[in-house]
Amino acid sequence: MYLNKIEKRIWFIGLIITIIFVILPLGIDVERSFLIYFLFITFINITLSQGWNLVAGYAGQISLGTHLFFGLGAYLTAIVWLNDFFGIGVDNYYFNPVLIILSGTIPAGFAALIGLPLLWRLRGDSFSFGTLAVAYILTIFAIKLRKITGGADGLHLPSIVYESMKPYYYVSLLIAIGSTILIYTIAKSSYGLTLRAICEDELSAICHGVPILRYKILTFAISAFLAGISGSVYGLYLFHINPDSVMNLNWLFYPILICVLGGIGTVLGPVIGSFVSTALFCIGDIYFRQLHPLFSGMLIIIIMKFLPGGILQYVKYLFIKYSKEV
Amino acid sequence: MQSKAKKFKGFIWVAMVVLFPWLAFCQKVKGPSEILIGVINSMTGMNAMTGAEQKWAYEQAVKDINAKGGVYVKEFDKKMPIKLIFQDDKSQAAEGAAAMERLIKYHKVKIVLSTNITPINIAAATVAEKYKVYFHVNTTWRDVFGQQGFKWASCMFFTAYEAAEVPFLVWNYCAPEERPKKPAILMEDNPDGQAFADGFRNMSKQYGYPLALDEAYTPGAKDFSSYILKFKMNGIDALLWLGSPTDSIRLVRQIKENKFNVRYLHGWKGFWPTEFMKALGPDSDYLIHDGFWAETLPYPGAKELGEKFKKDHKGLDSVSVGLPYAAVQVLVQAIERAGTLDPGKIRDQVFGGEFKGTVLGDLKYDEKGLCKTPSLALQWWKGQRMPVWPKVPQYQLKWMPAWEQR
Repeated sequence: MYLNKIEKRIWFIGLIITIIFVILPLGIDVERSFLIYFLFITFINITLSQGWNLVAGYAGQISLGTHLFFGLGAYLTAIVWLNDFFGIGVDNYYFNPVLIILSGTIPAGFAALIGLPLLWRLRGDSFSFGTLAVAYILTIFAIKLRKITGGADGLHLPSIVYESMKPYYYVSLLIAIGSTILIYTIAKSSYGLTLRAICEDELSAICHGVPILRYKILTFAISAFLAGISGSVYGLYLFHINPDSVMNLNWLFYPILICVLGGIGTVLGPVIGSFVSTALFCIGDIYFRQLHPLFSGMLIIIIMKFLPGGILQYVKYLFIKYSKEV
Repeated sequence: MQSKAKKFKGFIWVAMVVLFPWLAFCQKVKGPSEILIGVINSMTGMNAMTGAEQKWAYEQAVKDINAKGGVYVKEFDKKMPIKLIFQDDKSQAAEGAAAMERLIKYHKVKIVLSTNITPINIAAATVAEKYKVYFHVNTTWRDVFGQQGFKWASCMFFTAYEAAEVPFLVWNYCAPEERPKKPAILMEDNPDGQAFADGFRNMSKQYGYPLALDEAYTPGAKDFSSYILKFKMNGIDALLWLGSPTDSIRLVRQIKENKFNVRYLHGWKGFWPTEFMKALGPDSDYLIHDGFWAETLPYPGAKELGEKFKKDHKGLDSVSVGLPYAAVQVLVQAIERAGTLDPGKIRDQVFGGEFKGTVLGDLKYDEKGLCKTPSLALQWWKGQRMPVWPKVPQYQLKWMPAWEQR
């Protein structure tokens, strides 16, 4: 009962914050505001983390291939754009919704393809290393297939189309909200319940007739879809897609860190984790330039030491404590 | 009890309301009392060693200029000191773009000096183009950078082809029986390495030294033994390498461990920092490295700059600091000529401009904002850098003996 009340309050606060985010660009200079850039990166992190949260937090499958799907999304956007695959002229791909969705769909399909052997035979650490190995192989392909991917130099999108940060802000906000609602819907559905069952005890789930492979592959594909679209939007921002920028291991560590920090296996954990970790990294980068890894690392250790269940769990604990006192 | 609950709720609201607008509004508004120049620099990550020398050069140049009263800006009819604001690119391209965003949007700079890695500078220049901020780049392949057609970024450096010519020029002045017979290249697999490898391939054909092996590795690789084994099996007698300082140290150690007796080992980017020589100690002897500058060059202020560097680095010298130092000198001359801090007008002065009296001599930019600087070769010998190219009569190139004979 308490949790329902708390959840309602949290969602109400979330709604108000979302409204603030929607109207925020109307009140400030979007082109010169650091806040808009900060929020853009945060929203990208939310979408990416929600994907990892679903597969690791809900289904219990620790994927180490997030950066692969993120990079794949960015590369697909660039390849389709530069080769005019839709035949609509190269000027019409900038923030083309079909292109962004396609950049999520193909990684999802690819995840289903590699998920079949990986999730069928591998469990626990073996699955994690399997995904990491696939990501490593694909990174090598991205470097070696120079004719398609531009090799290590990568692909250069025409940055002349850039006019404003507004589309980046709103599109990233939209996908962040969309991914959060998607995870909430899954968590509240029988599908979410099945994922919990798989996470808790795979053998028991099999014994109860749950087709776990089908569920795990679907979850892995949804996770890849979210990573792919966030990679696509980030690629549109960067205009220069290469393995160093979009297949970097940062895109694997960030979602893990964000989920652990915010609260793994919760809907709002990645949201809170994204805001906190992106802010911490920004503060570290700006004020502790050469020491930022030390600063960020120390803060993360402190938070994880005192908040092992993530920030969200602590917020819930405080709500319960004060509600009881009231 | 109720007051406690109210206090807690109040705290949550205040935290939410304050945290995010704070990031937007806490940026300092600077008046025209100083010239703010942003700097993207590799302070951490695999290029931190080379980044440290570049950072020192920028700071020293600004210190010297400010000691003379600063830069005269006609618009304000006064001399203004320069203030540098550094941002770390963490030796990664995406972080270079993020560093540029922070400089432009948080620190509100309109002129930015570059880091020393081509992919990072290209990523950062893409951001600078968006916001029409002038990006004054050095230590980035001029040909690769020029291909991007940036309108708001200039570049002073040599091309990969110009740098790739140096070892062949060195070999050509040696006696024919001494010249390498089976040279090989091992390049990092990134834009720097690809551009460089193309240069070596062409130059090896042009100078008649066909490459016996042409290899690329992933930057940050931990094990080079498979490459070394291949070199040994093919009897490679000269190796041309491009890599970060950490990769370079690792390579030389593994070459020694595997007793690969190559006669000529020439490394770019990773071989020149003093940390490289200190890390390897006597094993750094005979190794050839590139250089962008030397204090022995007959340019105004070169000797003094070298002495300042040695004073700050316990007697160790540098072959890189002259380039970023000269970049600041060029920028200052451009600001004075523009008479304003408007980035577009400063850029217009650099593009097609000629700049005299720098520590790299007189420099000339073409209409695309590209400026050619010299490429040198030096040999580590007992902790000192000895000039190999351009050739000087006082020093003769030393071929590497076998490891067991050292």
